[in-house]
Amino acid sequence: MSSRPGQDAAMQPLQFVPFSSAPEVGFWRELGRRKLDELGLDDAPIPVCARFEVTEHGRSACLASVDGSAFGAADDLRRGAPAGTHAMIGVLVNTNTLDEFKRADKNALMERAAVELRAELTRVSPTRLTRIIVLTHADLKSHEYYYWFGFPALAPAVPIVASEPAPLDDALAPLAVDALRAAYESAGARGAGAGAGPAPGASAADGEGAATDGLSFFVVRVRARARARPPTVATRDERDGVGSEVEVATLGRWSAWCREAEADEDLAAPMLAFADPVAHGPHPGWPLRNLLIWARAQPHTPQDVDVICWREAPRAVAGGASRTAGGGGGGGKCRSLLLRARLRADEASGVSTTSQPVAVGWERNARGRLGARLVSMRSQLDPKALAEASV
Amino acid sequence: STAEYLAPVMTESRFQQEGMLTADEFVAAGDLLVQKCPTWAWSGGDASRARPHLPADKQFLVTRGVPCAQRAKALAGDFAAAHGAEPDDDGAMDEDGWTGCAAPRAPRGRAAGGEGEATLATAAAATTEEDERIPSMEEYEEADLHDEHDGAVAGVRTLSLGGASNVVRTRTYDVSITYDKYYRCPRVWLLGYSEARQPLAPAQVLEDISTEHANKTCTIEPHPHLVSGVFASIHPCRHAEVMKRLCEQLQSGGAVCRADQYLILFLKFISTVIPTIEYDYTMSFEGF
Repeated sequence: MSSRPGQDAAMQPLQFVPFSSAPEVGFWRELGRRKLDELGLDDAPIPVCARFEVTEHGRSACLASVDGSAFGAADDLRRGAPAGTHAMIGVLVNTNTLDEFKRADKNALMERAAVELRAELTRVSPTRLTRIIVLTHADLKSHEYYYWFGFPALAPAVPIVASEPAPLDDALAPLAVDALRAAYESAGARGAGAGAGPAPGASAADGEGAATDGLSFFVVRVRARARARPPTVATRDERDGVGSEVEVATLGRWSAWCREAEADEDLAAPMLAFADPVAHGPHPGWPLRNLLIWARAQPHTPQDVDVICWREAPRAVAGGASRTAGGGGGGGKCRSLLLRARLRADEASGVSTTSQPVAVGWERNARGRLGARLVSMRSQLDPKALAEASV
Repeated sequence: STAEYLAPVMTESRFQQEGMLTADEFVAAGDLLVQKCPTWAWSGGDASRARPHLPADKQFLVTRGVPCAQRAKALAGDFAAAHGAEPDDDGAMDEDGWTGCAAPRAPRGRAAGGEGEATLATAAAATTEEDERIPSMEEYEEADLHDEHDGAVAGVRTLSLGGASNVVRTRTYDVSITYDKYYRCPRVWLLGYSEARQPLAPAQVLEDISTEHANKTCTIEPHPHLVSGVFASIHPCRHAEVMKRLCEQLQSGGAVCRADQYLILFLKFISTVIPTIEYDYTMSFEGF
């Protein structure tokens, strides 16, 4: 597939669309309430959760939203995640003074996250690869909130290179894309629903991480026949009729599938896939960064890995059996991308296992610089302003 | 809303006769909308505000982060210029209900450039005292973060040169649809955020409501299912009437109009009130 001549030359450092924070009014209200009722002067990190989703809205940003339900213990947060959204777990540090907010050591916060991320690299089924840091200062008198979001991503010593992303349906036969969608959605329903809701069919291999992380990341294996050949070679019959020869599993299967592909020449190498919050454009979304670093750390990962940037918004769970021809037949065009990333460049290029790992990901401000933001909630939260507005 | 609180729950369908919905029909219509158009989702809202006549997890429908690239007034201006006429203030509404206003939708994905500047100018003109009090955040920028050496961020080079990034920031809206027990029809609520994620003041939200409706049918009220935020709401007093007429028009053309298709039709009608808020209303009404 995508076997262009001179492919190595075509590989370029991979760039990712960073997350953009999208805090909602409810988030600031809840932070203010906690500051008053619970936190007081305590500025220890507290667990929070942001969410992102795969959406068809015509935007190329990668939105991480936080609302009033963002606070709480990690396990509760995972359970409460709305269908179709993906959780990002992290911490919020609310400083007591504006000066502390300004002087807070942002590099140190990132480094702490980097250590935790590096621990995830050794796990067969990582569950916390997509993370956040929120640094805040709440000025409750003026209803102003200073804030800075970070989305920690491990920075490898040498950037990962990849081929130019191509549309997924150029690489997979159209029916294979449909089969992939079906397998992904059924695997997701099983993972997230935990018994609730109908989980049609069972085609994907099961994995340990499914119940906790939805399917933000997954592994895809396609039978050789389901891959498109160059149009000049493939007849229509070959491109079609691939049925259910697409398997979807959680990350826990990655190494095993890689090993199986090594051993059996008839088995295609598995592909890495992630739910991509970016709707348009050639660059994959931020969550892929840590996924690639993780994959590189796994045994049996081949040198080059195909990566699917999954951009198909979930079809709503049909109420019962109404998944009819129109719904299952794969209407709409495929917007997902496929790229080939070089993961085994050389051993020295990875994340150091001994020295302090480095993570990046502080959000840039409206001017494009690394800097904090400020939002005034007076019109939304100040009782006086509310009274004026509701005349 | 006391009246709404006291109003009995309508149980018998009056969709065909009066263009109204029962709570159950609202849920069915919401289910169909969510199925047809996954950008919409059910929400339970704050538990303290839950209404007993609706399922706990299906209190209202919401779609978040809907882009809104230009102001309704600019659009009306475009329209008027294109047709060599002033936007019609009253006539359209009185003649043919709300459906008469034929303001064109904002074209999707319009390039930045001149258009973007116009939008910024409009936004700047609408800056409230509130925004002016917000200090420049330059002093909160930092130069010695690890991020400075990170080459893997898409779009940063253009950003740091001060130019436009490939991500064009626009106003965004959270649009929700609740069930109004008194008027027995859906009701639309808007919560807007500026390009800088600052919640919009009521006056700014009005800029995104078509001029015909901005000061007549739009009110600022607390959301029935959420405890925070100030929402603009399109007042539902004429919704049933308009919906009934729309259905009759469709039926006279031979189409079938079912109660569970209500919201799909309703959103097409609402798009004339908020022409620049680019939620998905394009799903076909017929053929399913």
